[in-house]
Amino acid sequence: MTGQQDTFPRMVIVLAVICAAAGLTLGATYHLTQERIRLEQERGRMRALRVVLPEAHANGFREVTAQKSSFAADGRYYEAYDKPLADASRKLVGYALEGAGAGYSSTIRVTVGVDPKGEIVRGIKITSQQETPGLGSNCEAVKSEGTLWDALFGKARQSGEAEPWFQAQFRGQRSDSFVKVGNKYANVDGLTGATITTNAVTDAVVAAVKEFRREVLQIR
Amino acid sequence: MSNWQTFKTGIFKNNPVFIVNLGLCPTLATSTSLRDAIGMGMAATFVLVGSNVIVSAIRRAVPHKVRIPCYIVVIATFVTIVELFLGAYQPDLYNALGIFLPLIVVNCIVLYRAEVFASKNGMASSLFDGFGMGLGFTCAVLLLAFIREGLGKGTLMGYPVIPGFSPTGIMVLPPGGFMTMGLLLGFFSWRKLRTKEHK
Amino acid sequence: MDFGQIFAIIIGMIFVNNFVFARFLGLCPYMGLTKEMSSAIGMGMAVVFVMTLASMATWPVYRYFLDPFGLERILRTASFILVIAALVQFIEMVLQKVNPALYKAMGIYLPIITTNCTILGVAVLNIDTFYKDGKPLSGGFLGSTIQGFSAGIGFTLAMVLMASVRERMEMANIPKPLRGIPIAFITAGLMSMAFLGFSGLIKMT
Repeated sequence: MTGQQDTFPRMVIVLAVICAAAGLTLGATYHLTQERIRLEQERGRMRALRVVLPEAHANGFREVTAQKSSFAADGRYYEAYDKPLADASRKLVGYALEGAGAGYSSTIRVTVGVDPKGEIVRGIKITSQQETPGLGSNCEAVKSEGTLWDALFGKARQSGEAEPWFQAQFRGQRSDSFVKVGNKYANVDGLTGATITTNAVTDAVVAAVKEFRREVLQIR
Repeated sequence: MSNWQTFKTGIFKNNPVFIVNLGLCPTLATSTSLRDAIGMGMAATFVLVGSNVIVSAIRRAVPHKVRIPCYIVVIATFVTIVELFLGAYQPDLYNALGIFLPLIVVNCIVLYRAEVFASKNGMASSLFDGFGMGLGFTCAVLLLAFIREGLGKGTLMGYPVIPGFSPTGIMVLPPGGFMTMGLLLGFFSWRKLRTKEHK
Repeated sequence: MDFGQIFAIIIGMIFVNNFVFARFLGLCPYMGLTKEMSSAIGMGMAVVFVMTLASMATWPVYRYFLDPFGLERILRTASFILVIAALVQFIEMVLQKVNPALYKAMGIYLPIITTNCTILGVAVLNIDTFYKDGKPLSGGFLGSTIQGFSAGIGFTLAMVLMASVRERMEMANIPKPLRGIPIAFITAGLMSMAFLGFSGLIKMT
């Protein structure tokens, strides 16, 4: 660390070597993890589809891109069948759509399942949000059954699949029943202190279904 | 100073958050729930240990004038490794920590330890220093998260603690974070003042 | 990008999602440099300046280099922090030559800005805001620049508010253990409670 070592070429060489080493390490790490990251994203999408259309078969989802329509910007949606895609006797049980709404501090992305006529919401799943912790982010809160003590002694297990109560209330609602009274939707139980998040999610669901009905199912 | 002492100093005597007042941003931002706090603490500890060891290993080769850029590259590398691994194996945590994961790069604790300790000490003691400081930081985030999640949501790790307890929502919001931090810092300086008076 | 969106970004970054009060960013300088009004203003100005330029520099790096080559996950953090470090160094050199008066006012704060989380924070936030599903939105460069600038203004506002309170607190009789940073945190808590009142002023886009 003495002064005479601080020549310009030396500095450049050391920096270059460190950067190269860093690049190599990162490249290797990325190589190790990219497959896993892709799988994980795929699994996340699959999990959302299964939640919003529980009656569909796990292998019964087909990704479709709507032609010549403004639906969901890239026109992507999913057809859901009750049997695997390979099965010829499969029946269409619904569609899954992806919507987004402007929340309080983030864009809220939501996957919506509807019946084949696009009339009834089968379920919704919020796939990404960065809302205020403790208020807006409660849209993903799960009501826990047992207390901490139960959990510690193994009595209650908080299953990862438990559905957040806020999202559960959308199940089975008619898509045209979401009507705003004042600044609130009459048939949606709001999140305490987070009207914006509540409305953003509902808006996203309503808009996605409406657009889908108009653009893809041609129902007006 | 023995390695054990180096390790201990980071947790208690020189706790990076409560005594040196560094790394305040992630401490406040990720302490809304114990789960996030544990994730943040572990991610930061990993980066601290890794960067401390590497900085210590290259300390003689790095010219003085470009040492900060070199350290930053090392730290950024470790942060990206954490980002990639969390994205691959803990995507929920990755999303929950959000912007604060890349921001570990500019967590002052990491650069501070690299500059003050690792660039002057051997690899073994730097390793222990990294662990100690990382654990000190983790403890601080956990303590804050314990108070904020407990009072603000009435839960710990997502489980309700006392049946029928109605939570004080403000505790998980930013004001609650600031005030809890202020009172905790006040508590620690009260303790320091008291031990001084006793001597 | 129309005027309404720009206005929403500005108001949002200054009041609703203020970096200090709502996002917990930049707390180290916020606590360290608000003892006096002069240092608060100097740091605030330096942050506005660097943040705007950093937004202008990092957005193209991501948009035209990292994203097309598929490097966004590997090199985002590293390249952003290096771009910011180089930028700060560059600003320091230029400012010293071109405007010595300004350099004197905010020069000493420039070196510590590199490791200030607000700058990297706004760079990452720009990408989060102006990229949707891995595709860039139109007007991203302008949006990033405005977002960076208004985030800096919001930060300066917080600094100035705190400095004016703390200058008065010097005279107040505060319990000994709370003096200095603890009471500053409690004050910040009260301020951020006030800033909660701005919520719902705009809708995020």
